[in-house]
Amino acid sequence: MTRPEFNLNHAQFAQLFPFHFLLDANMCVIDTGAVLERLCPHIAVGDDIHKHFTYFRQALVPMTRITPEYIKNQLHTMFIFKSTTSNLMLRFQAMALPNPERYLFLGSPWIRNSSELKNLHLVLHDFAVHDSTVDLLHVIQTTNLSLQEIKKLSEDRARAYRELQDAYDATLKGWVRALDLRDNETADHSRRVTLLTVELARLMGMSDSELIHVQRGALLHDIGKIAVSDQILQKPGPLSENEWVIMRKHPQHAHDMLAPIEYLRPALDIPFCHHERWDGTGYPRQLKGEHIPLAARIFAVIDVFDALSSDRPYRKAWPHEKIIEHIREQSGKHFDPKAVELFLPMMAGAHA
Amino acid sequence: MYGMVNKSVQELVTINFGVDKWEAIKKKAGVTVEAFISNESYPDAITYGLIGAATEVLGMSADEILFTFGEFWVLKTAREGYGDLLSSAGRNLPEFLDYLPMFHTRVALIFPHLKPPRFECSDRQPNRITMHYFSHRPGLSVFVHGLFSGVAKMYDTPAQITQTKFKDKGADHDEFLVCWGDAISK
Repeated sequence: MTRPEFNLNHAQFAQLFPFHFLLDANMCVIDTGAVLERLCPHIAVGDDIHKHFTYFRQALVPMTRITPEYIKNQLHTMFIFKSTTSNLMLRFQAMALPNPERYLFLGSPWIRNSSELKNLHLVLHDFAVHDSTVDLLHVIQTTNLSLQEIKKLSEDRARAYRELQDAYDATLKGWVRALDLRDNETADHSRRVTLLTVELARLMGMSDSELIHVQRGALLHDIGKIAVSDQILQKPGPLSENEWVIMRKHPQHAHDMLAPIEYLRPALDIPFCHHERWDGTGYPRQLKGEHIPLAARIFAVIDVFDALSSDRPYRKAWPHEKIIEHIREQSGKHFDPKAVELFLPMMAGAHA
Repeated sequence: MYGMVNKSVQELVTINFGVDKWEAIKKKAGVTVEAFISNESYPDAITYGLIGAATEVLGMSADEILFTFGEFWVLKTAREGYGDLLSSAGRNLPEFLDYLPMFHTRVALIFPHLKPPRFECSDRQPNRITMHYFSHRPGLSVFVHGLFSGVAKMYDTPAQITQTKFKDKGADHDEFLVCWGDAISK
C-alpha cells in the first residue's frame, strides 16, 4: 500500500497546531503558532528559544540549555517548557527534521483548571479540535463540581446528625429533670452520676460509641420511676414490703418504656439492670456476675457512691472514707470487683 | 436530564420566590429527592413535573417560566457549574454561539448517559447566526430561547432572538435566528 505524502501549507499546519514552534540547529526560533505568538508577543524570529522559555526535564527539573543532540535522544519523551515571563507552561512532542536541520515542537499549554485559561487569556477556540486539553478541563471541572456537592452534602448530613443528637440529648435531659423534680432529687444527682459513670466506663475500656449509650443510660437510670405513684415515691418514711414490691418494678417499667425507642435501646442496660448485684441477689432478674451488662455493673458502684454521699430525709450523708470502705467491702458481693478496683483509685485521684 | 438542570430550577425558585414555594413545588410534583447532584442523571419526568408544578404554585405560564429558566441557566447555574470554562467558550456572543455545538459534543462524550441536546450553527454573518436545536425532549424550545437571551446578556450584547422553525409545529428541529448590532430589525 502506498502511503500519501502530506504537504500541508502553513495556514493548514497552523490551524492544527496553534501553539507549535520550529527551531533551527542553534535553537533559534524560525516560526511559532499563531496563538503562541499572541500569548508571547515578544518572541521574534531568530531569538534563542532559551530567552523566552526554560526547558524542564522529566520530574520538572529545569535545565540550562537543550541541544540538538539532547532533543534527538529524547524524542520519545514529553518536552516541557515554561515561559520566562509568565506562568505559561507548554508540553510538546518534538520532531527532528533533516535537510535543513530543524526541530519542530508540537503541543499545547499544560492547563489544570479553567481559571488558568482565564489567567492566560485563552479561550477554548484557541485549542485545536483534536487537542484533548479542553476535554480534560471539562472532566476536571465537572468532577470538581461533583466533589464540591458531595462535600457539601456530607457536611449538611453531619450537621443534621449533630442537631438530631443534640435534640435527643435535650429531650432526655428534660425527662430526667422532670423525674428529678418529682423524686425530690436535685438536678445535680443525674448529672453527677452520669459524669462519674462515663469516666469509669472509659477506664473499663468502653469505646467512644459505647460511651454515648452509657451516658444516655446513666441519665435515664431511674426513668422507670415515672410509673411509680407519688405516694410511694415521695413517702418520707421507710417503705412497706408491698411498697417495695411496687418500687422494685421500676427497672421493668424503664425497659417497657425505652425498648420501643430505637435510639435508646442500646442505652437500656443501665435503667433495666442497675439494681442487679454481682452475687445474683439483685432485681428484677437476679442476674449474676458477668451476666449483668457491663454498663449496669459500672453504674451500680457510682449510684451507691452518690446516694451515700447525699443527705436523705431518713439519714445524713456518709463521710467519704466510710463510703469508700463500704464499696470496697461490697466488692464481689454487690459490685463487680473489677469495677471497684478501678473506681477506688479514680476517686482517690479526685480527692487527692 | 442531568441534576444540574433540576438544581437550577430549585435555585431559580428559591432565590426569586423563597424556600417555601420550592418545597410546595416539590410536594406538588411528588419529588422526594433531597438534593440533586449536578452530573447525575435523573428521569426527565422529574424536571417536567417540577416545571408543571411551578406554573401552578407560582401562577406563571409555562413559557414565562421556561424563558426565565433559560436565562437563569446561563447567567447563574452554568456560570457557577462550569466556572471559567463557560466564559472561556468565547470572547463574545458569536464566538460563544459558534462554540456551543462543540461544548455539547464534549458533554455528550464525557457523560453519554445524560443525552444532552445537539446544536448546530449555520449562516454565520458578521451580525447574525442561525442556531439549530435538536433534542429528543419535547417542549423545551422556549427554554432554549431564554438560554440564547441569557448568553447575549452574559456578553452585554443586545440581541434579537427569533424562533424561525418549530418542532412542535412539524419541523424536524427548532431553529433560531440570533441578530445583534446592525442586524437587529428596528
